[in-house]
Amino acid sequence: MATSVCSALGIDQENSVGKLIAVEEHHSSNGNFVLNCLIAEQVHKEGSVCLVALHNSFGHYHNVGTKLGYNLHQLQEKGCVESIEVLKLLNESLNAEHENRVGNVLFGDEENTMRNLFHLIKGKTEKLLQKRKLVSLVIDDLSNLLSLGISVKEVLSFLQYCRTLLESQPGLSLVVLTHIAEGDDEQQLLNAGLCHVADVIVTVCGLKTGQSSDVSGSMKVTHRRLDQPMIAHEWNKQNLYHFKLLDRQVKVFAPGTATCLI
Amino acid sequence: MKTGLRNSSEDHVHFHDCFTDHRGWIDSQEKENIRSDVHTKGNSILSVLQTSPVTSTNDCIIIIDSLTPLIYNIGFTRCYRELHSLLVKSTNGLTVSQVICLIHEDTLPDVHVALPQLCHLATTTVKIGSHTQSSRGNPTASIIHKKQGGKILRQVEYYSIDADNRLKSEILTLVTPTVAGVNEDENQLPEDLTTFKLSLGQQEKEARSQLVLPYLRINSEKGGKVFYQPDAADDWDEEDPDDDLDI
Repeated sequence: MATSVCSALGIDQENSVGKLIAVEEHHSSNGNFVLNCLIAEQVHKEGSVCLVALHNSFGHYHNVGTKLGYNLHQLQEKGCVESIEVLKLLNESLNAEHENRVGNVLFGDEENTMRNLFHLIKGKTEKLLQKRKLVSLVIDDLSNLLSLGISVKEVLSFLQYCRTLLESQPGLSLVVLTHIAEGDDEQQLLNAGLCHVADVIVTVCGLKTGQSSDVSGSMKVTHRRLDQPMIAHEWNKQNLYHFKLLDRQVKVFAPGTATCLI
Repeated sequence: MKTGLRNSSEDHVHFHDCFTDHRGWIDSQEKENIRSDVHTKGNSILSVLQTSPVTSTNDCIIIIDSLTPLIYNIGFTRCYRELHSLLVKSTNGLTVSQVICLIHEDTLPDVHVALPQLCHLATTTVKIGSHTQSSRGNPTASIIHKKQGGKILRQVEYYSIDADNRLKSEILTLVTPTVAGVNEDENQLPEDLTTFKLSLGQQEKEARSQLVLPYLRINSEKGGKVFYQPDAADDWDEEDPDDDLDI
């Protein structure tokens, strides 16, 4: 079910511990399936997941997860999955600010907002690492922080701090999704900043010529093997795939080989 | 990065960690106080150098692995001034002979303003680009070096890194597509087109120059004159047809 995406990304062969996987979602496509497949892979390997949900609610991930074969609510009860639902935090913070009481996490000084969020994440990942060796921190999606009015500088600082967790907490791997729309300079800057430091970059975009019932979009996977010598043809190796989103699985295939065309 | 530099002797290379807690978020949480002066911790190159343990006062080379976080944290103007002051005066007894900075162009805010200024400050600019047709699959580097006398050296090289992390580079020579006979005189007939002999031998050229064309008369008189030769069917009448007019 999720295995075809994971083998395309190459993470079933390589160890993703201590690495940052960046998912770049272009405007007319949805890169959420990559995150769901990575969560499925992590659950399959019996690791834990810390999900920072900025774009959707936790229930959404649970629903998609049941179709891919895992139950997030159950895993949360067992303590294998922690989540930070920023949409709920927004609600609480807004109420707290109106009533002038403590609990306002998100609507203060920009730096404090990011700092609070970072400390929340740090606490949850430390808690998960006590139980399981492999933890995956999944952030969906980083560019929503820009919608909160936070500047690119603060979001990049937040990203840098999350990267420091990769070193201070062994067994952690990081998956970050950002959205890019043409003409939005802040998103472009944020995405460029993310892609420069990522180990694997997955670019999900729609087809250039329009919509198709056989192919949902294209996915380009770039492996930046920074720890290995840069041999000419291996450096920045890019693989292009087309994918089709179905009800219970995602089919990934080489361009031009969709099942209806063969 | 430390694992990448395998052969360097550790006495000569000091690593300053400006990555881990650059805004003091981790420290401040442990102390449970949020002070405004925590922001300035390790945020400028000068402050980092001031706190560094200096063992020798020889000329040192400063290498900054990415200028973008610095520009974001302290602003471009302050970053520019600090880079300039590093080169001009000594800090903490340390004289800086060279500063090497890495800039990721697409991550810089206001790159069309910042990048030319940084290039102006630099004596040597190395611009890394992706492979071109002539670089055999290797990435290219265009180098511009401004000498002290005012002369500018420009060179384009392509490079590769081997398994031992050693850099190999060669000057890029543009591969021009070779087309035989492009510079030949275009007035000449293309002789390879048919098996017929289209060229002229020497005798044939002489005969051509001596040939008088039958209907060509050389007009040595001034003014125009009409040459008319009547056919057999023509009725040539010398009289003037308008003679009987009474004007």
